[in-house]
Amino acid sequence: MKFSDEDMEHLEKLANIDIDPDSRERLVLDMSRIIGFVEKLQDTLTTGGQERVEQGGMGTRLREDIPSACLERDVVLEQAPDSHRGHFRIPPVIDGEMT
Amino acid sequence: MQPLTSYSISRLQEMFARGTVGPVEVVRAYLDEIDSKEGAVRAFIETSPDQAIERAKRLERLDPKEYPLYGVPVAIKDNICTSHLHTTCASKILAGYTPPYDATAVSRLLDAGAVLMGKTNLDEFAMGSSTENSAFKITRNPWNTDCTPGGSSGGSAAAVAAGMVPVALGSDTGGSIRQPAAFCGVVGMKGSYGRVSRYGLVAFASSFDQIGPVTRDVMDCAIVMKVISGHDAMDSTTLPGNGNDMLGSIDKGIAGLKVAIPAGMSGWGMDEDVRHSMDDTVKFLETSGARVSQVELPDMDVSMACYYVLANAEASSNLARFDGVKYGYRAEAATLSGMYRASRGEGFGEEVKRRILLGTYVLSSGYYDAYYLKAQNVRKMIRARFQDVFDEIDIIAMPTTPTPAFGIGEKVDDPVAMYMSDIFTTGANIAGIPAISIPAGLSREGLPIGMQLIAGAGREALLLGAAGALEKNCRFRERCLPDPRRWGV
Amino acid sequence: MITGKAVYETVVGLEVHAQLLTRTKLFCGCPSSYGAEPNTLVCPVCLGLPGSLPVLNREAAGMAVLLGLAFGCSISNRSVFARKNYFYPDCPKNYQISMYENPLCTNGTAIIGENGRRVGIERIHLEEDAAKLIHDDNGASLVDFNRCGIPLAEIVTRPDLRSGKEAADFMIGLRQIMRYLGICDGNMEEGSMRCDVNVSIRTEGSASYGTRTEIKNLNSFRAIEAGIEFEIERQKELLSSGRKVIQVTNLWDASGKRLVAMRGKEEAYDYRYFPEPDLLPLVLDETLVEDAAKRMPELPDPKKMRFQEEYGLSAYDSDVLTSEKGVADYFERAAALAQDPKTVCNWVMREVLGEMKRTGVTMARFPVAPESLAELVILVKDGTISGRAGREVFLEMSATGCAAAEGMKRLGLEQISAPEKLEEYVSEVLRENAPVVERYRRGEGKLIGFLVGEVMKKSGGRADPHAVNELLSRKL
Ligand SMILES: [Mg+2]
Ligand SMILES: [Zn+2]
Repeated sequence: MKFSDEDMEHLEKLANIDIDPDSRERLVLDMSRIIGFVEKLQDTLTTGGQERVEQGGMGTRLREDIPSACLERDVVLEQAPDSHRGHFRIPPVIDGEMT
Repeated sequence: MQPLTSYSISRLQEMFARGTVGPVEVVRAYLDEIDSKEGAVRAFIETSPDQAIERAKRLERLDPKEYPLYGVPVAIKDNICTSHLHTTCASKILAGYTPPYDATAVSRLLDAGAVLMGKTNLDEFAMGSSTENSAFKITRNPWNTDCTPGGSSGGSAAAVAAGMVPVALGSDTGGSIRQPAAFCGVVGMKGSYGRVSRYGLVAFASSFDQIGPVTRDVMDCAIVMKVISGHDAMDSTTLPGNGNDMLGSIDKGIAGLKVAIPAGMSGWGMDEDVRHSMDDTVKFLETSGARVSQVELPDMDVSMACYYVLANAEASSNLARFDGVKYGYRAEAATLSGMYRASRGEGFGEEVKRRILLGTYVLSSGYYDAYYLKAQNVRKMIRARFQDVFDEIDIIAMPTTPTPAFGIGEKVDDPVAMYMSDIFTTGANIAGIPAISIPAGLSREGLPIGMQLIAGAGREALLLGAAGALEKNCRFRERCLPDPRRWGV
Repeated sequence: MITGKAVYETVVGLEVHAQLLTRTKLFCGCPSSYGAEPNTLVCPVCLGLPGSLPVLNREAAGMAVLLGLAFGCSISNRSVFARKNYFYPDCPKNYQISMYENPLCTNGTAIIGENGRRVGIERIHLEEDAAKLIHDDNGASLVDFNRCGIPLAEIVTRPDLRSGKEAADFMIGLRQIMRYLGICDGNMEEGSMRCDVNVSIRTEGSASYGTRTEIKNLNSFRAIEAGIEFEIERQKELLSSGRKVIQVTNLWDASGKRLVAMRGKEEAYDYRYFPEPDLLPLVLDETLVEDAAKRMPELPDPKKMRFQEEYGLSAYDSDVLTSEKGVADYFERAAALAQDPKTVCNWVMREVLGEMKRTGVTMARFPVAPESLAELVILVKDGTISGRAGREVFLEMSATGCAAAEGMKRLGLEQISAPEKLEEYVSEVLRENAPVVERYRRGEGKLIGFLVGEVMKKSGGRADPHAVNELLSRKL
């Protein structure tokens, strides 16, 4: 499995991570190696035994619809990189722009 | 008189109950240890001496007999949320972040009377096996400061090994408690998946992560597990019940148990000293009345591949929330997507980026079936295999790692080689079953070797009993302790 | 030259998001209410703080099951939450917890419009609502997470709708049912019910579908109809002129009556869905489904039929009375007390609904209780007051919330049956209408009605009409 520069660009976009140009080449190589490493899954037969579902069998636990305490707004916004009038402030969002 | 910092939890509790010593004295003694050793070991990202003394003073007004961890100093891996201390995950992206709540495991420790001493170093977001991927510092192995303490809970393991705290919490996604415990000559355990609440553990891979203790001996480990285990309304993946049975088999030993050794171990690049240790363990098991057999485990290479695909797929999604909007590091940029990309590009370290990218890749359209779905099916198969194995036997015994601690810098350039140091530990995470590492001996270079015991789902008590017996046989702590004179600082 | 003009068929499918009326959010205990100060209804879970975990709200699951049952869906006893991964600042974890491959409800049917067209419901699933983004004057955006995590039921129809009108009809019917179930207030303007549509056209009779486009931001029934019709015309124009429809997402601009392109196919997003590892599958225990079934009210269509059969009401009246469960319940309560469904029906249709419309007050807050209306109807029926006086009393009751007797007293409308007072009115009327009296005596017997009316007028409607009638007959 070859991992190309274009693959890297696509992943950067999906994961929203800028890759430093200096480490880019090495990272592409690393990715090829790691993908090569996980490639052995492809030859594994998965038709063997059947897992008995035990602990998960009962399904997720449910919460009753009873209100609980919220956080203080000051505490919440104190951690924010930027805030304004009780809101988190961020660079402008263009309608429908999904990144 | 023995130094105050040498006592086990139960001895300390006796002394507190009799009033021969108080929490302030004990906490001070440990703070002194931290002071004198931290420069060489670098186990902590943050210590909290003033808060610790304050709390110890408050404890002195309370009745020791009502608190199972009364006055016990503990360190917390810095990916577990603490409301009065920073929680950074050893990442630039969370530098300076203070959560508004305590993790359930932390509040259970506090409710039990423990004293928080600080936050320990780790591989950024627990991604790594050497604690070298920390944005802040490289932790040293107290047995040889040129070696890594393992990882990702390297800070916790090193702090306990160096005697800076008697107890630390770690987190184990693919071996991140047991591997550093083995490298540092201490006990490290992860329970069944769901035994300890993950609420407040900054998620790496949600379906694998478990919080667990790092301690000096099995008894301490059982006592801490008892406190932190049990159902939590905030984590719907926790198992029902509490941890009260944790010490239920602690004195039962290993006689009569069916113990299995994985077949074909020689093929796994095992160090000679590790093999000797393994042989000694088998001899001990046979002479102590265990019924020893061999068992075929799922292919470990395949297990590793399965683990890497699934854990990183989950990680790529879990770490998406670090985007510079609500908390943590923000890189200034004119556009939103520019802000996202720069914040994450600058805030995450190399290994974290590699894993996010890999996880994104295996989930992306066109690759999902070949990687993610395939790995899910492999996981089911592996779980089924472990279920079958534990229908027949009680315990699997094997080394925790193929080699003792490796040198700092030795594997940083080869991610796959680094991954392979977890080859014996990921199985328990894939299967969601309890496993413990206990120190079994030293290599010829004087580095600890860890033995791992694994039990079926829900059988922590049995596991702790067997580990106690093996520990008694190894007499590790009586024979060897790390020597600060060799730290060369 | 004559060209054969192709006949196109419209194909529309809807994706509706409905906020469920639970007390708390889907995965945390924060109140799911409106109008609070920004970022005050938040906790580590709905802010997506590191280390937090979701725990599912039982009531939300129950409401979604109830909705599924109402449409005759199969309810999956093992549904799976999945993460939908995308970066957007209204989504604090940058993934939304939703359902993908194994939704809670599948394969239902809705019946819409006057001729009862059947529309397939493909699926109904649970997911969490997003935060609110506000655009700041200074070119920044602001985020308020209060709404984030409120439970949504997503309802996806099959592409069975054939016009903008049908799409709007579907939405009206859906809102009616959700209000009946008490699970969503269905307020499109406020966004508690939102609708995205997929539109395509194909030559009539064709088995395959054309390229579809998506329209978002349709926040009223009128906008749904207008937006779809606009898009259909646009697609027809493209196809008739030999061009192609390109897959695109548009926003409906209701004020400008136009579509604004949002994103094209080449940017179609890869959501990387995978099962949510923080939640085990939703395995429905029997009590949950049973409880939901027990909560199932009589739905609008069966209720309408019953009103016609049981009370002998017209189809039209039944339709109006059952449009809202609150109105239907009100009618039935009053009808039972007054023992006269048809009269009560008239009162509700004319007075109650008229007043509600005039004042904008909802049924739940309507000041005249059904018990009070029944009293009033009885007072009119037994002649204590005239019908006209009754309507005045009703207005007083509706304005002040008083009981019927109290209203009468306030308006000074107790009936006059004292003989000397009536005698006075009658004598006056006979004196003032001598010619009419003359004609009556000559045999125009029905003129007595006119004279009774005059007496009533004089008394301000308060005279007892029976007594007046009797007295007049005697005097004449
Ligand atoms: Mg949706
Ligand atoms: Zn919340």
